[in-house]
Amino acid sequence: MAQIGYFSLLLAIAVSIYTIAAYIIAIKTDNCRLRASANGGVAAILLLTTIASVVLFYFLATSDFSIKYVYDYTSKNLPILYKLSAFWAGNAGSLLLWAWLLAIYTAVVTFLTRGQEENIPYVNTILVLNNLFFLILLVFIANPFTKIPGGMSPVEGKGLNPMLQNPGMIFHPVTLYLGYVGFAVPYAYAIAALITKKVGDTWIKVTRRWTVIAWLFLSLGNLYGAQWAYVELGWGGFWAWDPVENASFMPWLTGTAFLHSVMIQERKDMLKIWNMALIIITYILTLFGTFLVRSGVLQSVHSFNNSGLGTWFLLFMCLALAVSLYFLTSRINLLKQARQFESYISKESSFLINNLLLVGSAFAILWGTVFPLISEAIRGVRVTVSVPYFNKVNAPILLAMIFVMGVCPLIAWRRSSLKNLLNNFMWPLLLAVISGVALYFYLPGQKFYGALAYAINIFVLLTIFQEFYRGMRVRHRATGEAYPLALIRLMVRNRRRYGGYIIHLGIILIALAVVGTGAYKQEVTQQVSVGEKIVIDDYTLTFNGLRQRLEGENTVVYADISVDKGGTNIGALTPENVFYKTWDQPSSEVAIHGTLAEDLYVALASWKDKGRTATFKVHINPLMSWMWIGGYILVLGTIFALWPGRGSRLGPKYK
Amino acid sequence: MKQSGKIIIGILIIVAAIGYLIISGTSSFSGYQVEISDLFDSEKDYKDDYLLVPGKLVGDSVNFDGENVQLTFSVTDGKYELPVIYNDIEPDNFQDGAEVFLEGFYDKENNIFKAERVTTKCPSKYEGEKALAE
Repeated sequence: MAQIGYFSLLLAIAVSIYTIAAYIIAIKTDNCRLRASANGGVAAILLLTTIASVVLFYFLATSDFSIKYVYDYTSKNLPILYKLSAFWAGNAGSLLLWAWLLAIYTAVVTFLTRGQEENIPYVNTILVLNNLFFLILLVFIANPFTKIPGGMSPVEGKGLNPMLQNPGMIFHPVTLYLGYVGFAVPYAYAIAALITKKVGDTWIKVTRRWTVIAWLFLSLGNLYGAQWAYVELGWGGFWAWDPVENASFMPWLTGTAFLHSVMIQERKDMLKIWNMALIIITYILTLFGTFLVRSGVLQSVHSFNNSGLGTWFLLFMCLALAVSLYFLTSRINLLKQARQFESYISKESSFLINNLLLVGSAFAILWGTVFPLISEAIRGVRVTVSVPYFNKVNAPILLAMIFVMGVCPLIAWRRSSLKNLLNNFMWPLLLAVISGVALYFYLPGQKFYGALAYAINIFVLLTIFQEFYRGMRVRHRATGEAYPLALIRLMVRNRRRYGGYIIHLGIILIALAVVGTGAYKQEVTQQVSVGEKIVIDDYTLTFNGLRQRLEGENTVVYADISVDKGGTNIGALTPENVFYKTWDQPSSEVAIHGTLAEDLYVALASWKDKGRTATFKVHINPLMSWMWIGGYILVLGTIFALWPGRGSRLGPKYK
Repeated sequence: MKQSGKIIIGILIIVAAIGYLIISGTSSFSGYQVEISDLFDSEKDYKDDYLLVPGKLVGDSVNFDGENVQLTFSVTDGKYELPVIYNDIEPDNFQDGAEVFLEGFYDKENNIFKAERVTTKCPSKYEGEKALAE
């Protein structure tokens, strides 16, 4: 059985090499039959990687501990869902997941994209080359089907790290990889456009869906990661600027910049070089992220052991960068733009600012992440920047970014007048300033930056609502439709635009949660004995004692805490420590009482005297739920914007 | 002035602002990564330097004072043992031999490391390197 998995990977390498060669020859000789045969190669790669993946799933599900990977990451009594999700718990499996997803994407590009027959050989050559790299790693460096030496078959595996036994860990890696791998498709189209010298906006039109979908998955991957950290790590936060978190945030930023700047190219034939550069950077950053995780060059909680994979990723990344830059520079004349900016107050220029801020933020994060390496290379000492660096540098950039997000959709293409600006922004701006001032005095601590950040978010929120309202009113007057119908028709007929606004709404909600927890969280760590209370804000937590229960083969120690808010009982919270049979250390499960206004978050830190005294970490995180609600709205907006058919197309070009 | 000139000035202002943020942020929030042996062997007293120190946790040394929420423990590089105080709770995976990463200040006079942030990682769990015989 293991042989089947291994040989399908080996065979996939052979097929990949054939496919690449066949595409190249087909391009040179214009041979249709060879091209069709190469397309068949793509299907074969999909089949072979699917077989390998199914085999690995089978071993995991049946707990065949003679396979080292299964032995390393699972145990007999692990719930089946976690047995299967152990697929991506280690190096070898996650590489296989990558190869499999890339094979799926390549097949979709080949067989489900219409009208692109000419470009497919180029695009696929790049995609299959990519996959060949992963397959080679899988076969020669990190084979998931390796057997335990000596043909032994242990009766029990080492178990899955308890921290990975959380629903977040089922979704987080998969969504993140779907995003990472997804950006390979627009990248491949971009390079194909450079090679074929057809650098018009065809490649952008064809790949828009891909880009948006990859972007959505990357967003979700980051959100699931944040949620996992929030409920599983027990320190009360959701983001720690760990190198690996940064590695998944950077391509998100540049990908977001790309999504926006391509609109300028679609509409105005501008920023062509910039767009090419952005998609290349985004793709390289996804490889860079993988390199960081695999290499262990930086201190990170996520690091896999250095298994030599890091070097390979570094090599591949440099190769991809060199090839991309070669094609970009050699075709640069084709990309020169004829048009100029017509006004510095225009939609174009606000898109430009948005791009600068997004890329600037990505650069600041990159700088902070690799600074230890740079300083070691230059000065011989490793200088590391700490968490406040990332917060202090990114907060202003991203706030400015959010402000632009409110302004940008409402100003006209080409040229906007002061009157037009005033007309659009007076009410939102006024209301935002008033609420900012009110919040400054009302909220604890009288924090200027907190209130300012809230005010900016409120401003953008209001501009979005105003846009919906005005559109609805205009349509109501023009067609006589009732308001709700007018709103629905308006949105459905302009799905790209209103889908975009819905996504903006989601981002603002997420930003509100970030500001709330960042500026206004309250926390206390306190030791209490049975009957004693912890008071935080208007909550009173009474510790009633520590209890124990069995859950399968795991022992769960939990605290019984009753919670009062403003004098009325609002229920009980039971933060837990779970002791796993296969693990030395307990893993903490926090208890959260979540409302739309705030989360009350309690973690059980330690105890003594047989549980009569225990230490708790208690947080109040304002607006935290809106982060997850914003995430769902993001998904809805994306689906809405991508829904095919009438109303999904873009308006005419402005010439 | 031509519109393109204004645009370029705008771009330069944004780039300069971001550059300023990065440079000032780097100088205010950076720390030296040093080894435990550096702290003991070097003449330098590292006073006022924000330090980042990796080490392995000595399991027996861990003590938690719940009254004052103070965690004390030692980390080692195999040769020296560095005592640490940390005013917070145990991080996850805080077990003997765990790779611990300390951030904070070193008080050479009293030979104690005052940690502001402690993180752990447990690479053997990610990439099962332990031999079966163990």
